Amino acid sequence: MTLDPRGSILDIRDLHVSFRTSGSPVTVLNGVTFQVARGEVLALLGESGSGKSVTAAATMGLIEQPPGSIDRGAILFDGVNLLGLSPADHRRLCGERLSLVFQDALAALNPVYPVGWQIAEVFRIHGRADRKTAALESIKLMEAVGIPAAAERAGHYPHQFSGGMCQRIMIAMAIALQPELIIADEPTTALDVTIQAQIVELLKALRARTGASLVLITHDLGLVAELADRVVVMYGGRVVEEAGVHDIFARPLHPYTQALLASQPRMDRSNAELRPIRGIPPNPAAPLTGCAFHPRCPRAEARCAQEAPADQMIAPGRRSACHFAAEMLA
Amino acid sequence: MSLNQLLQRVLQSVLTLIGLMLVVFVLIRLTGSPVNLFLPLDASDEMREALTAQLGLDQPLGVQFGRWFADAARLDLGASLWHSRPAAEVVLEALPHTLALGAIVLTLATLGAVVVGALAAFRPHGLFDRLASAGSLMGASVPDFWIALMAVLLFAVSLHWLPTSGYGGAQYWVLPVATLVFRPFGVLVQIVRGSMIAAFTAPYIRTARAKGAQNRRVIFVHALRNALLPMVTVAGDLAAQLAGGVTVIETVFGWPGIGKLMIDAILQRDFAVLQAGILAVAAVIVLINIVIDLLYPLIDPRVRGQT
Amino acid sequence: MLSAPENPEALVAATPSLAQMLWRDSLAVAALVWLAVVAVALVAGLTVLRESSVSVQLVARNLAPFDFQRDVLQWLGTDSLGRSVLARLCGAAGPALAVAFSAVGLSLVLGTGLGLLSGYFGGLAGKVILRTADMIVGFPTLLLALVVLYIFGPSVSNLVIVLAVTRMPGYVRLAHAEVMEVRERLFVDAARALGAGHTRLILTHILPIVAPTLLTLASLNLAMVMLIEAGLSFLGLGIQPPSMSWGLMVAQGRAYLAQAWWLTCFPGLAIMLTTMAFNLLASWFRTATDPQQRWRLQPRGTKT
Repeated sequence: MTLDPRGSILDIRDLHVSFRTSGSPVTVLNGVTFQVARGEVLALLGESGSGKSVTAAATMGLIEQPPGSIDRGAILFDGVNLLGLSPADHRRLCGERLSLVFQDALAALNPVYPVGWQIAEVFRIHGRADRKTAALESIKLMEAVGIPAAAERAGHYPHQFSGGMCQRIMIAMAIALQPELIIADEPTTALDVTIQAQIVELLKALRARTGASLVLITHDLGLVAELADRVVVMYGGRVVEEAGVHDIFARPLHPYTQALLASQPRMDRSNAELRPIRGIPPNPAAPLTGCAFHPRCPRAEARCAQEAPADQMIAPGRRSACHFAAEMLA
Repeated sequence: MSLNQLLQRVLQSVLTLIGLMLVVFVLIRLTGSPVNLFLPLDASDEMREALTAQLGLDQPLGVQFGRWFADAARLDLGASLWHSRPAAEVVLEALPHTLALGAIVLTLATLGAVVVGALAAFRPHGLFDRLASAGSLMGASVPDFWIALMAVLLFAVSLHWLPTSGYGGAQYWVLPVATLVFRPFGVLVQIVRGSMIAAFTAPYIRTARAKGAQNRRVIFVHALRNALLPMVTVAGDLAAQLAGGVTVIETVFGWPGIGKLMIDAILQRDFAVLQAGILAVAAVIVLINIVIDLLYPLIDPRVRGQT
Repeated sequence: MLSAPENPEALVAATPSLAQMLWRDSLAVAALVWLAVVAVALVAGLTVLRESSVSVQLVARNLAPFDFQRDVLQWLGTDSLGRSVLARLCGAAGPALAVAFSAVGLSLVLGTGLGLLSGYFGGLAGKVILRTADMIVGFPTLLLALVVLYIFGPSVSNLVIVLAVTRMPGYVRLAHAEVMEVRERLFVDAARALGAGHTRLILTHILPIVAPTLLTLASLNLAMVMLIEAGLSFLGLGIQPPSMSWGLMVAQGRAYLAQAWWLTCFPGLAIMLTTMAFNLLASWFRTATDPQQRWRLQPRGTKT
């Protein structure tokens, strides 16, 4: 599966983001590159601190500069470099053509306005409807995401809803103007398991209906398996592997991905010991030379400490940033 | 707020007032010979004895308090020796002047602070913020009597644009309002700025931006509503302070309000008026607190429906 | 999520000292410089300039300031009795600052103590303390001070006591709220499990955490108390002659407002600058002790 850049809705190229701290500036994204094709679900997989949320924030123009700073790179949305736009122009696209679903939905909703008002606001901001129509549309959206008694509950406040309901409200806000790209940042992490399943079903149904692209930011492999078409694995502010979802689970081509999959508890292997990835996540304030994963990598050799592996295309639709990727494929 | 809660608050307030008057009552009698407070320093012994008997100060304390309390309940707060009128009357005449002044000052300060504070919070440590901070710092640091005198010097004495003191038409209001507005404005700007900055770091601001809201909307629709609550609290405190704290300004400008009345009462040793004045100011403050409590649920939906 | 990732080693190595952070805030440095000037003036007023501040020289009455050909002491003008304004300003610094620091110190210690105890032990006494504090804090300070000083006479000790009492509730409420919050935290339970007694818990564990907020309040109160004392002195109920206070000087100069503007202008300016200095230091202190805002006061790092 070769990706034609013209067919991609989102094209992130060599993105470098750093933050000013008490010491020297800390590089959080170290040359992130990947594309999202139209209509596909891309999972952005990685641990906390790998840079997935920062990537989403940069795309939506949510990085405060200072203390953050986008040092290099481009984010092309439908061919237009978002980083080259003025903040106002960038803002105009958000909510309308691309949107973001936040992780902690209750905190992400404004406590002093009714939820119906907040959903309707998306229409009003982008001038798509007057107040009355927007209110009606927001009730319809609430019904679409499965909130019972929507007409009545539209007048309620966020603190009167459960976590799962709040997440649905966030999703309603994100799909209101039928954007071409939806980024969902850990959409199920803050919820308990039964609610998680419902949200996953909702996302599947929405995707089937609207045909939008979905970028799913998560560290939950189960979610990836259920929803994703392709997977981009991030580690230490870089992309370390990219492949279709079947390939990733069947034959991962980067030691980190392999370790991640191996560390998952398995129902079919009882009494087996858990196999965590040894070592600790990388420290962005003290970056290492060479490959970011080498201290924890079972395959590491001397070369890995000195030379950072290039991000190579090893097979159609498959990338890996490892010196031994080709060997693993063979 | 339910009727029940309202009644509870009113009852609490009345108790507070009674408590306050009790404290004043005790304080007066602590000085040994309260009658001295009511008389000029050179009064003769006979006058002292006569007044002692008249005020019932030779009775046991319990009887005294009972009598005094009964009088206060009827709003008979004694007679002003200086004005030869009931103290309550004198106080009620002066109170509206102070209240009017305070209301105008607070309104102007609040409106100004909301706009300036919100804009300053938007780019913390930017140019506008620094200027606003400098301005409000000066406002909070300036002694009001001094700025009043400087203003009088400039506008009244040198330029002859405004009168030096007195009460009357619009031009008499300009200087008192202008000098009084500094400090509340300074304090409120910092409060609004602080709570707006806190609001800006809240997650729902990022949601608003992700929805595509431009800066003006983010500031004035999303952040401001949330920042209002601390501001209302502080505005309430400032209102209370203004109720009794315009004393110095009223003295400088000869404004016939309660502050000046009480200062005069001190200088004239007219204690009945002083006592009545304290009660009036305390009552106003209590009222302001109740109003603030009533405002909270209107602003913050999370507080509504709490029993 | 968007905050910089924590790196313990790097942060510990890079946390600057208070002095370094002070240097980064130029306004706070200016404030400190001014306070140093005031301190010098205070000492001068008590020693060298004591004579000049009281000696009457009718020959030199009401001289305008900024005439640099005259004697240094007359550079800020003289008053109606020929006394040097500069010398009097220095002499007035002492009483004004003494009252301010004593009142704030007293209210800080007593208020914090009461607040800590009421927050930590709770119970009826705690509630009563808090209620009383709420009552006092609602009432305008100046008015309260006026009434008390009228009843008991305007001596300096009465002045300090009444100012301290009116400021105390602020600390009581703050200390109470902070203790309530800290008390619930896990490390307190941990310490208790290790056998720490009440005193140790309060003094060693809880107090250091609540100290920065209380000290910030104290520095703000220094400014406020100075203004209130100035107002009281202006009204005649504060520091009494023959002692001096800047507020008193303004009152004394008021009669000559039209002819000798410097008599009211300079003392008031002194009050304002000193109050501003306290406010600036309070604001710097607040930023320096807030871990989230501290980065603004850090020396700029270099990219490796």
